[in-house]
Amino acid sequence: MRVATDDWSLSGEAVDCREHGVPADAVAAAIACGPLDASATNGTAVTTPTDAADVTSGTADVRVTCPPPGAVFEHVGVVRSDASVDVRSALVAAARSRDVAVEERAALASARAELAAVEVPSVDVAAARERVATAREAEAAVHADVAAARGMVAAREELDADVDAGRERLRTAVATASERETERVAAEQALSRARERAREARDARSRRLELEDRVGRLERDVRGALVDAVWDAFADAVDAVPGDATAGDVGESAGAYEDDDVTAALAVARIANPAAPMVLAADRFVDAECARETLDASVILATP
Amino acid sequence: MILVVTFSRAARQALRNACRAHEDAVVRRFGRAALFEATAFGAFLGLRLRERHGGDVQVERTEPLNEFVDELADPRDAAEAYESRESPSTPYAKFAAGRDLPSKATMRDREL
Repeated sequence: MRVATDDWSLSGEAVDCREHGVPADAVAAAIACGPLDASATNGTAVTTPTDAADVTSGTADVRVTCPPPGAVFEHVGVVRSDASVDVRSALVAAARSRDVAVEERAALASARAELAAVEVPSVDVAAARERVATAREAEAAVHADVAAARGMVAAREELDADVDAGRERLRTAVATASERETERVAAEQALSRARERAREARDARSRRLELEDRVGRLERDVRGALVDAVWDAFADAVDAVPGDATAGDVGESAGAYEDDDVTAALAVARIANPAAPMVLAADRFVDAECARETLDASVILATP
Repeated sequence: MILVVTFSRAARQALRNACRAHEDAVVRRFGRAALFEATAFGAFLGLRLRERHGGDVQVERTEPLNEFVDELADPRDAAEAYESRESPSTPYAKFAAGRDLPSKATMRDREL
């Protein structure tokens, strides 16, 4: 691990850059911002990574060369004296970083596989609905024409007037009515077929929803099991890291912890196997080496 | 009324939100489905969900069933007779056989 600016650089697994006045936020941002874009350094030479997995990242101000941060870093990567930590979520990340195996994971993996395999046929019923609505309106409109033409023919017959033109109009209207009726029937049949297919597609959608719910429940189960699996280790870690809280403050049941967040964050960091260094700005350790030993992780001490 | 049935988590959540926001338009809620009032606004709520979630939202228009119309005389009589049968374990097929009641197949084949 290497922390550097244009003026100085520090290497090792326990780095104290407080004397340089580097704020924890700047170091954390440098670690979290991802691989450094060479152009951002204005031509400043970027250190060759010391380890194949290491990436140099940061701004032109602070650069950190270290493995990319994992989920643990998001929860307890930076510990300030006003830290606030969601113990359950942080422990899930810690357990995952240690590859803690829980049997619920097999069920989750198989539910996810089943979910991925669900295929929902695509059915467009809207077009069929629109065709029916249009056909029905067109049919109703021509019926009115037929009635009007028929009325006119009858009226002229009563007057013994010439009815040829009226009859022609009636014939045309009747013919159109028949065409439109045929179209309406065809449209209705098409809609009924589309609805049948849509109903089958909904079976697949229902199945997919059930599986989504199952995956959701299993994800919760897995998280719960991960917290359970590391809970005792967490209690021991609370004892081991500096702070007033002791194992006695950690409840019997997993997740029950109501003491100070700094101690919790340090305890989580101790049991986790974080890839990236921990950035510490809480005054709990005499020096960086002591912090590295207690947390069993590479550390960077920074100013708050 | 307007019946809305959802088929995905996102659509189900959107339906819950719509129901919560427009209680006055909701006749009844059932898990991932809901009945909206038979108004243009009820249709609007259903159609908005269908617009956003496509095939994951089914919208149907329902109407109350009047069992006293002639068209439903057969199934109504059959239901009434069967529900007042003396032996509760008699299956409908056997019950209908000796009486002037429609068979299940007859009723299945007759569309309303």
